[in-house]
Amino acid sequence: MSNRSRKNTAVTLTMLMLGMLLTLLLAAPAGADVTRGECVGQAEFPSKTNDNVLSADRSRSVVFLVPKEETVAYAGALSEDAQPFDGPVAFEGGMTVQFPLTSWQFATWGGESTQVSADGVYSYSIPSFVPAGTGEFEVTGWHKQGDIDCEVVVTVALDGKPGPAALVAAAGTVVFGAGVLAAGSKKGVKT
Amino acid sequence: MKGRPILGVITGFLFGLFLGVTLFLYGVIPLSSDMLWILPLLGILLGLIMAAWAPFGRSAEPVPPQATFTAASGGGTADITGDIPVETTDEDEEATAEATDEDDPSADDEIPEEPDEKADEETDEETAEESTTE
Repeated sequence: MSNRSRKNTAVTLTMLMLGMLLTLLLAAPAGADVTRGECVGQAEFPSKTNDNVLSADRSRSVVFLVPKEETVAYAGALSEDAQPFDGPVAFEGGMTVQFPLTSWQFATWGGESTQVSADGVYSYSIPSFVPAGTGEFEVTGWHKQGDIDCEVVVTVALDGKPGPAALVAAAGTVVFGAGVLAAGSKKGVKT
Repeated sequence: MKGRPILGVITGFLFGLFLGVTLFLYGVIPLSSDMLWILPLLGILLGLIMAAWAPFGRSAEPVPPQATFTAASGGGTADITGDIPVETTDEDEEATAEATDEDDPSADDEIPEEPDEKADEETDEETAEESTTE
């Protein structure tokens, strides 16, 4: 096999590998909703002009775009026909963002109450250095009160466009991809 | 390995890492995707494969079988008799010739001593004849 044909074969195989990898990534299964219990709830994002209500029964495959800062009006209950407890019952809950090998709980609540529902407002502001318009985030909300255990999973994404961080990442990919190809050059021989 | 495995491991890891981040930032994969940690491992594997395969660059020129060191003969110099062109100048050739005369005893052996002795004998005979004639 001549040197030129070996070079072409290597480049072709590398491109093929990357293409197959990309195909696998794009073909990731959407998955069904994973929820526990019969909790109901919704969060309203007033600054959005359309699709501004995120409900607990929303399918995970439908991405909800969230602004980088907002004051959310929320309301939730253990079930649609839940009745108040006779006495105070301890409760705890939280919301987490799922990462590849771990998760980050960014909001928690807890205490004792006879109530089975709650509503209010929650303000958040995502730092400006966090790039918008990125891939999806899997956000899980959970709540435990007495014997009742609820979990709701929604898929959200930051509204916006990829900023300079995306360009830097793309440039790094190209540079280090070239480094991988350079690792395939023979020792002591200039390519 | 014929290539550069260390370079392959380092750049492969970073390539996979940056590829995963790029795919996430452009919305191709979600943040919870396992590909974000699988890709750097695949990158390391790709770098090692490239280093082992080493498809780029020319192969080193094969050493001609004639080019052998003549250390066994005590010379300590390379006797290159292949087709490799060697540019030499007149000064180099003279220096080589002088070194050969000084170092190589066989060079002195090639010079016959008998002609000198004969020449001396002839000179002596001529001198004797001249004196006899006188």
